[in-house]
Amino acid sequence: MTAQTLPQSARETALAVHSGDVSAEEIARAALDRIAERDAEIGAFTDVTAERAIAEARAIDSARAKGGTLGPLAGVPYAVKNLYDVAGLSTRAGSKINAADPPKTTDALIVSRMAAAGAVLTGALNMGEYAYDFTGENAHYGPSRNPLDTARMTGGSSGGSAAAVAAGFVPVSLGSDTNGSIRVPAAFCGLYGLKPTYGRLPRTGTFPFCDSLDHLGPLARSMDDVAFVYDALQGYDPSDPVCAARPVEPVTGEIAKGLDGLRIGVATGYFRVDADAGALDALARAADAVGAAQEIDIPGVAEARAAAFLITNAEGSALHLERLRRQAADFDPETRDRFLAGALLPASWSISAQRFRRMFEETMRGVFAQVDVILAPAAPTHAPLLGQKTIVLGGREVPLRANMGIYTQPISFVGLPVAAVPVCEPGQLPYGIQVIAAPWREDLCLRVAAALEAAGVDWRG
Amino acid sequence: MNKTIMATDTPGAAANAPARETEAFIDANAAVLGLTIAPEWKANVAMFVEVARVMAARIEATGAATASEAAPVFTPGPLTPHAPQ
Repeated sequence: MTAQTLPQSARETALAVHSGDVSAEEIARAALDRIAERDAEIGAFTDVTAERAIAEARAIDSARAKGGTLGPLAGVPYAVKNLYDVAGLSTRAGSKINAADPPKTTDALIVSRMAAAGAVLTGALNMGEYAYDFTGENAHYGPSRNPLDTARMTGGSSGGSAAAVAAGFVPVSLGSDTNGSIRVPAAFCGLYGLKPTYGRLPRTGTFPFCDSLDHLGPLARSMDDVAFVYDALQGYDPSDPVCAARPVEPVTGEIAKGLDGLRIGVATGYFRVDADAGALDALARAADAVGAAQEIDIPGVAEARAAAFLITNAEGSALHLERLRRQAADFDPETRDRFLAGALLPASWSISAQRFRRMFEETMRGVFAQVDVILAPAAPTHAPLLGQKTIVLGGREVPLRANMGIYTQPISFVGLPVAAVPVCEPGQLPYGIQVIAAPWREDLCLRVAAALEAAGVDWRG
Repeated sequence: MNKTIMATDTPGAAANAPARETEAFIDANAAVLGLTIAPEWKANVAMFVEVARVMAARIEATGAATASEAAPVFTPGPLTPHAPQ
């Protein structure tokens, strides 16, 4: 095969490697070539693990030659946000401070699951410092640039994870999402993503941001690839104390079930107040595509967002208190001042925010008695320009960083599973839609997301 | 509940002129916590404290402090009985 004829998706790649149509090494070298050719422009990677990629690929080819059993993701190249532990690398978590830590000796748990499934790691990806970010900018390592328009943001904090996939370097990547850090970059870069239910995927071996809100998940160029990889990542492990002891619930076979029997609502109220015209059009297109007519005005969403903000600020800052004492000047200035503020907050503010979490959980339980799935915007606008500090929302100029997560934060606040779906118009920047379901119903998110994909809402012309 | 979006809650002028009480709050708490906040960082820190203050007021108005228990943030494993001595 030539570089042009190599399979592009994760599933096609694995099928081709399984069948022997292409070697895993050929796939890995092509991915590494793409990264070498263009990543200086994009800034997706902070570490390229070329030696490891070739070694993993050769091991797969060797196993196949010997008649061994290959994993479901055999030969699929991928990369991970640099808050995942990777043996041989320091876990930067987007920071200069952690880059001085000794290299890790083992992989994060779900990196080891990817390896066990036959996937080939090509490297670690740029991110906003300590994941406190919605832009993809980073004072230490430079920004990840949006492959759709390199003058624009990828979104964050999983900016490199989105850039690597949107640029075509790898078919899938792994990111993390505390308040929207998979969903916002997926929206800005025109990708699919999944933030599973809180507690679904074990986070062992990843650097935390805010434990009570942190999730891991995949990004890809199709919903099928998201499902394909997500199924390889699932499984209880007691090493993460919040990982739920649930069986693996595969979704790959579920997503083709379509929309039969599903009650799909469209979020209104809070979710439309500050969305720009493009975001509202994208939501309307998505709703039309799946016949969603019922409008859902969720009570208390603004309060949920406020509570998520407080918990993140206080809990994230507590994690970094010692670093703030000793090395505050070594933080990215864009995160430092927020962390310092968060370290000072009265305990009653964050405790009340946690108590409100219970109230909002009850609210959402009531909402899901009325509908099975909710559509909502992922962000109030499309990818802003790099360096942009403010944005006009609802007719007011407001700080950009603090407001890109207004629609994602209330949802992850109570751990709901969300699929991210891009909605595109030819020649225009994409918008993102959240497809939200009740806890543990990732299957419903992916069924609706796949239906949106099949309807062509992501078509760019 | 009031559904006004958070964007409209962002204090506009706080970054330029921290309220005296906010500045005093920052100075006192930073000293207690052993944090050094450089003078040139203070206005920005004050802005974020003010944002949090607005958000905390919004939560306080829900009555959450007394009407609910904190959400569980972990899933406990099965209890293991103590082995007899």
